[in-house]
Amino acid sequence: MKKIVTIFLLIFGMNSANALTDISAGVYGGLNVPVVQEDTKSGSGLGLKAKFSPSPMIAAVAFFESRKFGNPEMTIFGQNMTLDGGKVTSYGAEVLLGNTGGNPGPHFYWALGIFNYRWTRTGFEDLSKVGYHLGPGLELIVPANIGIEIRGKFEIIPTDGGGSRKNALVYVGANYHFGLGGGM
Amino acid sequence: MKKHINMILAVLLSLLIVGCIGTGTITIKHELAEFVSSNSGMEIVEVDLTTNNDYNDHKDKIKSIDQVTVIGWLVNELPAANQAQIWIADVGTYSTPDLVRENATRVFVSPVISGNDSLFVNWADGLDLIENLPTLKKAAENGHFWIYGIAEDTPFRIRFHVTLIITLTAGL
Repeated sequence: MKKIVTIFLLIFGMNSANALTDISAGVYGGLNVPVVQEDTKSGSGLGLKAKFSPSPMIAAVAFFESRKFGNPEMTIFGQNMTLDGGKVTSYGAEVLLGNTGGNPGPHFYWALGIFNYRWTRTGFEDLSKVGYHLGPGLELIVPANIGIEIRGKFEIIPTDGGGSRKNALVYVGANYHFGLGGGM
Repeated sequence: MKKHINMILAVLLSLLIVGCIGTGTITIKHELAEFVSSNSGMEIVEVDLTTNNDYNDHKDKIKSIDQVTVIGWLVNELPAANQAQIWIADVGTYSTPDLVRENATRVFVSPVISGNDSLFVNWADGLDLIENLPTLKKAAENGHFWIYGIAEDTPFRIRFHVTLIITLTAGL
């Protein structure tokens, strides 16, 4: 949590509030795909986020996501059986680098994030760790201050023993921009 | 400037993906030969995971054992209801149920099985029936241990046909 707060303070410290170029809020949803994990299957996810852009090239985002994994299957002794894939809640912050303003038009950016990850699953101990993600995004903002966004994230959650859990996420979302303008 | 940022971050993402795919979470099935254990003829089963090709492929690169469970058939061959139990130890020298209870670690207790009846324990149920998971994980990481099949009540005669399911994170 301290790391997440620090990221926000650093970003807002880069510029005064008067220089804010965009504030937006949005919802998104999409696919949650485990990477090299035989004990889970792909699921879906939903999220909420708020974005603050102190300059047209950098922004800070706070987000909350609720996701689930699909139930893995196994056949043994001729019996087909499944296991609970579990649910994930994550919240955190990310820095966007690229075209992060709120003007109409396409905006391409990269996101670097840090988040708290909690995976609750029947029969397993909860996994609660800090994770990291990186990925590109593209938002098309129309004159009505609405943005349609598609983005990908590759996330890694380090686990005990030097291993990690990895997931790829693909989201589509809609954002409302509060009309501050700016951007490239 | 933007081109440089994009290039640097694309390279960083590629390195992150390639580097992180260096580990993965794998599910290994290790079927035990069917055995019958009774209070007068207790069966002791040596588990050598190095005979399992999937385990062998990863044993030197294990980062963590994430879960171990037992699934399969349990048959109560006596008329009285009973609960099957699996105990483990790092030696195979305990020759009676009492010695097992004194020296080994109980890792699995089945629901009550009616007399002369059978029970199938599936993947999800098996997770709920495991006890002393840290000891079981450590045994799985070592790759070599002994299983003792006994029961809650005496006399007992239980047929075990089970598979160990081991979920581990390892270098690929």
